[in-house]
Amino acid sequence: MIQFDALTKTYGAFSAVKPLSLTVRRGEVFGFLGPNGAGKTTTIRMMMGILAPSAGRVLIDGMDCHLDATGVKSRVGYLPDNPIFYDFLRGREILQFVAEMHGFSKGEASERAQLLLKELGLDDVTEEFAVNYSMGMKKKLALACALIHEPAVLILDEPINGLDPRASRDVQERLLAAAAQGTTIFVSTHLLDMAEKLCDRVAIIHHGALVATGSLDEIRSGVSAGGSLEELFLKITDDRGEPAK
Amino acid sequence: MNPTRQAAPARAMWLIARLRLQRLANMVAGFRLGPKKPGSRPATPSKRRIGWVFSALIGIAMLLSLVNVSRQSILNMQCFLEPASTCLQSESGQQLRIHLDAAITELHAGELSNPVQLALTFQLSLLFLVSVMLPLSSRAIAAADWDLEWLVTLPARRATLLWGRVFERTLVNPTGWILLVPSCSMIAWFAGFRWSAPWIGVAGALLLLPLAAMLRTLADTGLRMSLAPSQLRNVQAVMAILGMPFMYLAFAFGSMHTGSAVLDIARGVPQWILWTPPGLLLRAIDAPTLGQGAALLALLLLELLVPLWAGMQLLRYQLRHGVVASGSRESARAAAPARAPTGLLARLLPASPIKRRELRLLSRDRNFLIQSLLLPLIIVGSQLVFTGSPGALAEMANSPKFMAGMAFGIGSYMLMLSAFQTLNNEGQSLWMLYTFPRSLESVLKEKAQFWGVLALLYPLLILGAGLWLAPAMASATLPRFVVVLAGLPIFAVIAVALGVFACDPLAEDARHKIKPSYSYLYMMLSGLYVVAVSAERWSQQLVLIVLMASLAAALWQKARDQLPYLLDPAASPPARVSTADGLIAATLFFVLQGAILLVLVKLANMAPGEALVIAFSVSGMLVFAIMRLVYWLAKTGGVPVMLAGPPGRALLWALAAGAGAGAFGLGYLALVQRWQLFPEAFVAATTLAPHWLFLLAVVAAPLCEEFIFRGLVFGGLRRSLGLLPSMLMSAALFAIIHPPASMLPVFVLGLCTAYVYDRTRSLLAPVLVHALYNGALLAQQLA
Repeated sequence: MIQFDALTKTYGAFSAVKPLSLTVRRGEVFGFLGPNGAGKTTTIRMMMGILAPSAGRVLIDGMDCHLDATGVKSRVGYLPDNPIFYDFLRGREILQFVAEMHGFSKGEASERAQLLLKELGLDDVTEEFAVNYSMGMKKKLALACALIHEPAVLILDEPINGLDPRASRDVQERLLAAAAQGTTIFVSTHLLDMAEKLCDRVAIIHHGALVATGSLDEIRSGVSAGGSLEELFLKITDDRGEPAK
Repeated sequence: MNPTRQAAPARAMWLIARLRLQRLANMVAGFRLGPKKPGSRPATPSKRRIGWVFSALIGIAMLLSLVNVSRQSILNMQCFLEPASTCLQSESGQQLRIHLDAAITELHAGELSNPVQLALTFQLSLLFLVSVMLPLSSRAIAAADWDLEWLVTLPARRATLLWGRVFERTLVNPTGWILLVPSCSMIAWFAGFRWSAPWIGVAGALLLLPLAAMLRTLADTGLRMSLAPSQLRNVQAVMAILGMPFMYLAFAFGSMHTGSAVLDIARGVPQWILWTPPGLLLRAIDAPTLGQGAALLALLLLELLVPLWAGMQLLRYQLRHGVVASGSRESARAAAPARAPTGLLARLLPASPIKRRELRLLSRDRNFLIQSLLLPLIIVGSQLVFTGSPGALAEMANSPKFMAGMAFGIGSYMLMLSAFQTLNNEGQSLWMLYTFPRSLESVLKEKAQFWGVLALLYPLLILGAGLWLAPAMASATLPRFVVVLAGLPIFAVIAVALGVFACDPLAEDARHKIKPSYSYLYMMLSGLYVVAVSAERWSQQLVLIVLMASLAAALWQKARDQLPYLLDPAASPPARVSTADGLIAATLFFVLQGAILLVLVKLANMAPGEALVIAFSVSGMLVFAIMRLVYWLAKTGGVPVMLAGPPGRALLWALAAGAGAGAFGLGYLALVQRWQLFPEAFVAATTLAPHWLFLLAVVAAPLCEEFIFRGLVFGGLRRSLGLLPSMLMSAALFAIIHPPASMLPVFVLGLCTAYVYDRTRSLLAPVLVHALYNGALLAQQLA
């Protein structure tokens, strides 16, 4: 469903993402793990056509994310790591706008928006300006924007970062429900228990390079370190062992 | 345990100011203070766009024009306000003549007289107020994230932070510096300081700017604690509304004449104004003795320090409950849920969600509403009122040219404040547009439509008023307004396209998002179009309309190429042949041709006819070589080729189209000659020998012009437009570079050549068509 072909991003001399090749299968929940600054958000932004790849490409459902951006986006829902919304617009209006941009009629859009806002527990703040929302509410609103057209692929950048335990549980359950309906989910995170709970397979990137990929068990056996994902992660992304460049 | 540490107050203030300066420096040049750490990740270099050279030139031009306005103002004040001046002399009856030389001598002779002092102080006070108001009317005041919130978490006393802020704003107030320095310097110049005058100007500005910084800080930092966000935005809107007339009133001194309203205002300035800080500054600079100057300066310092101290007390009082007020927007939670509009209103609203959203934002953001829709009226209005003579408004209705020019001016200025900012208004939420299954181009197109239609309201209103006031002028007024109404949609496209380049959606601070050089480019183009509005001949108007339309298409295409890379801090689109290249090549072709012709005729004493053939061919070849070289260096894709595919096919198309175009040309020529349509076009028969004519028309012209107009212009347009629009636009552009008499057949030729080029993808075909057409017409004329 999602295919990375030597996807690369460089800023001058600095390479943020080193040639990345990876395949995510249809209906899979795929975790994209890595420490801060590893290149997770850069990769996701290239998938959304927000950044242009320096080399290589990424295909979603066979379509190039940079060259055929419009086609890709009708199949994809996206949740940014730090959603910022328009000034002077209420939550309901934003969601309605997004739905209409995805081609729903006014009536349909309004119906879907109401339903989703209720489902995500935002129904008592629908008439508040979205800029006044708390971080968690903004994330939920952005998730609603990503889900409103029932996309085949969800691309989520740190979906539960900054959420309280209940909200985080709600979001994860909503994602599991989407996965159960066959949605492919590509989720970046550094929260390991979430990855452990949700993901079928994971990839770990570090300094822009892919260092491990597979199911959690496969990675465990590859590194020959038993125990929790946390220990695994720390071992793989340990810089101190490396010689200084 | 570590002892608690903190920076000394003076150092803390300096650190805060340095942070701001460092940021400015980074923004301008990537310049860094201190040594570079080797091996570390470098700052991401910004994209290369037409850059700082242009901005620097604009800055210098602004400074020079402000120096000129200041000089002219002082001279005018001496001339019109000083009764004893010999500058105004009546000659031959009522006619008044202005002798500025006399004013200059009088000003250099001694101190300023009281009326001039009053007027100058008034002007300086206005400029001072503007340097407080303009920064306040920028959107920053209502912005949510605000760095004091972060600064208060540092271990420094509140007073230190606040003084640091005032200090930093004293230094970083570009509006203030650029307004006050020229004015103060010019006062010093006429007070006899000569070449040290600029330094005195800087010192003078440095004395006044802390007060401006304090007022500004009180207004934004302080007021946001006690006012609701909606009221705050009203304050901001008022600043925007008042700031502009103040500035124009100050500048009006530089362009006033005997009937100006500003003269009466200057005569009414009270004496006490001389004891305000601007007045004291003026008198200190102009003081006859050092002692007097020192005394005035001491008084000035006192008048600055006391308000600064009082301001700080007030500021601390305002911030007694903390530095952050509640929500960044007035809460809408309590309000009844806004129902979707029903019935008639719903049907009137545009169907597109983009346009509806734009309308909704416009109705909610008062500041944006005022800045985009009202400001153009205020600016034009205040210029008319302050510098114009009293009967100006009445005269206007009787001058269709002036009325149409003004209507276009207001409309295009409104576009600059709205359509130009479309991307900017998306701001940090631009990411949302990237999640929709629609191209960003289609979204921008809708916005261009929206603002284009809104901009038409101004000329329509003015047209209505004009027709009502002077119905007799209708036949002269209407054609000019047709040009205006055709121009505004074109300029909506230009504004949105230039806005794409001018905006930096990645910038954190709204004030630095617009690159001023692009606004000036837009204004220059608008100015050019006003020439079309006031042109006397239809052909001149047509030329400028077509030129602007093609420019709009070219800019739009460039912007479109840029769109997928907007949020990318480093990448730029790959090079491809575009319409802009065609326009540049065409311009280059004509400039080179003129230059070579001049050299050949003037220096080499060649006969004009032969020189023309040589100049034409040489410049054509040069343009071809230059463009190919540039394309080769930039590895550009889509460069036109002479022959692609089988030559027989190109030949066949060329014969068919050439016969058609030639037949049309001959038929047109016959009709024109029979009906004597363009008598002037056939008077000056050419003196060129037939073989030279043949070389020019049948060999050189097709080769040079086809590469530029079909290969680059049409080829470029075709990349982003359909076949028919590209054909029409490239043919129109091709037609307007010919004399009016031949525009129509050349337009048809342009359509034919474009069509065969599109079919064959080889330049050979249009070259042959062009040669056949020119050959047929030449043969008919020589026969």
